[in-house]
Amino acid sequence: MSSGSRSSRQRSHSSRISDDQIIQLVSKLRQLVPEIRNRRSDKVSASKVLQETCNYIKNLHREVDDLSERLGQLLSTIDADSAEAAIIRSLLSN
Amino acid sequence: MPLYELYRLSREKLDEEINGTRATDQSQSSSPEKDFFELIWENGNILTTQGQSSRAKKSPPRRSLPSHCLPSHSPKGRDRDAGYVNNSRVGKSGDLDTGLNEISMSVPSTEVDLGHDDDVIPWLDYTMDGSLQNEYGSNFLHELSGVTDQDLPSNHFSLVDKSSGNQVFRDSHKNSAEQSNFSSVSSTGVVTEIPSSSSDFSSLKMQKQDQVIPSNGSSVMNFSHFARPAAIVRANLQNIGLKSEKAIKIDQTSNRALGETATNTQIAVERSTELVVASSSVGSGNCADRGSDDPIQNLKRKNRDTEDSEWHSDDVEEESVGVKKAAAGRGASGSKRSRAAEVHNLSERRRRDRINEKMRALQELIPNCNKVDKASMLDEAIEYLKTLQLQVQMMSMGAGLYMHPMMLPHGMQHMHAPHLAPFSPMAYGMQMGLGMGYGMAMPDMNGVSSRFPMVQVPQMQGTHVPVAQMSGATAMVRSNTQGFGVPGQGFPLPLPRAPLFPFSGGPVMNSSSALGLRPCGATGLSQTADLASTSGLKDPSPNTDSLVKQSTGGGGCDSTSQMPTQVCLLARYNFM
Repeated sequence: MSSGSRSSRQRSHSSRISDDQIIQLVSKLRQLVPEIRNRRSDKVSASKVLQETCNYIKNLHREVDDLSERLGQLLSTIDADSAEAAIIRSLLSN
Repeated sequence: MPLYELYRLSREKLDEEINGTRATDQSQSSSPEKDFFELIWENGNILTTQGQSSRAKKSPPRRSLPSHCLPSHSPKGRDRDAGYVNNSRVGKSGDLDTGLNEISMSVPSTEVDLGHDDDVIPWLDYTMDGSLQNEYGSNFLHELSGVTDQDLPSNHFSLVDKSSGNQVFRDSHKNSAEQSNFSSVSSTGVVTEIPSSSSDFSSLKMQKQDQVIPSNGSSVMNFSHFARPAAIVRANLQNIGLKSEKAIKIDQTSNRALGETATNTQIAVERSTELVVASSSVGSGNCADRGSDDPIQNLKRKNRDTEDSEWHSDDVEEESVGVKKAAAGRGASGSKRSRAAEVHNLSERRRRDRINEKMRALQELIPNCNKVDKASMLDEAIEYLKTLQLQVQMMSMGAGLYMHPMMLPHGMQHMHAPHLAPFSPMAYGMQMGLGMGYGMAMPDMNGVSSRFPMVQVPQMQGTHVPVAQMSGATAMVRSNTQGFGVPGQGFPLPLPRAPLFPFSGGPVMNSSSALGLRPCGATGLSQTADLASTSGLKDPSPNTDSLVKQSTGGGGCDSTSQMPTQVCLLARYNFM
């Protein structure tokens, strides 16, 4: 990560995080979260971005759970020794 | 010092009595010859050593003197104390051991007497100035005894049999407002030693806590004892009338923190201790200054939320500074400007609070996030988000792949969009993952995959070359997804291919479309290619290019089959 560069850009003392730093990180998050990315991204506040990020992560968690469940079901339907089963198991173990 | 003399006298007297009782009491104590008060930690409780019951029985009336033996012991006993049971039991921190050592030294050996308040009481009363140890030990015991009263039911350290003595302790404690160098004991038995070097900070802390003592329950007691030194200064401050409100607030905050889990409390206590120590050094001697508010406020923030110590301290400092400036401005300049500044500060504070709250929530979502720094926490959040996206995309792809095993052997010939309809719900995740996982930018290839469901499995055996490339892709995958133990060849083969495609860019798709699907007669490949190119794939990876070239060079069904597989992977990847 470019945390080193970010920290080097801190203007204030170590205990304070510069606003620019946060802005940059927030913009990064904004790119990752599709919901915000598709909107006009000029005036999305930091709190909004954080909120959307939390929601997005929760959604992803839910999806992972759903997919895990589905993979589990798949695993039961196919041969346990097949390559697919191994793959599915590996997926589930992630 | 006169105290030393007293101690010596008392010790001498004690020795005589102790010798008789020592045999019985020494069973558990590690220092036979010591007429020390040995504290035994049990479950975070400081229990008087071994012979409490025995002590209770014996309870020789040697109150005052024995308890004053502390200081005299200190020089000699300290070394011996190091090896004491207390150290091993305490095990919390080096400071704690030291504290215990001192305490053991300070308290007259009378293990017998240990259980008796009267022994301790007078000793505590005496421990005012004198050596650091004396105060240290006295404070320690002081707090312990005070804690004992209310902590007996709870799982906090407690001196046995201090019920009667507690009152005395408390009184003496209150009377000894001038005492400095209190040792602080954490609430949950973790003795966090506040360096007694600076009485100010300790007094600051203690003072706050002291006020809470009467009002709160045992949980509060722990903390109050912990902050006892500060309480003294606090009392002074309050007398001045400067910080009563803040002290109360802080106390309440501390109490709240105490109400949390023991671990949190410990952490909070420790952190607050550290903070207090740090802030005390700054604010030492500023008891009457508003500057001491910062440490206090910092302490408050930290108690409340240990993880956000840095953030909150920053905000608190800003707020306090802003408030101060506003207050100063109020007096100096026009009220309008100061009011506007205050309003601005308030709104700024609210905004910051909102953001901090969101960051806290985000931090909770991120597993194993122990960063207190905002920037690093955001970094971790970003990485975790990418990881999650990739994981979702992998899983959905795999699920889709194995959802229709019948398709696999046939390649892409019979692929229709309807087959992949069930996977459309996954489009969101896959798109997102695709888009962001590697910086891949193929989020919108919805219909593409419909043409080419997974074909990897049957292709795996025949693809040796791709495997080599897969390793590269797998490396990429692995590097980006810490949680992904991509294990064997089977797994890496199909999935990493998908990432390869995104990196390959348009040209790869085109060539693949030209080569791979021709023999298969798949018509959708062109669509796939189009979509791929439109998706804005970036960074054609050398692996992919070489692979493509191989496919191109081969032109045969084998190589082309690989391509279609890749395309299928890509299609599926995009689709999902």
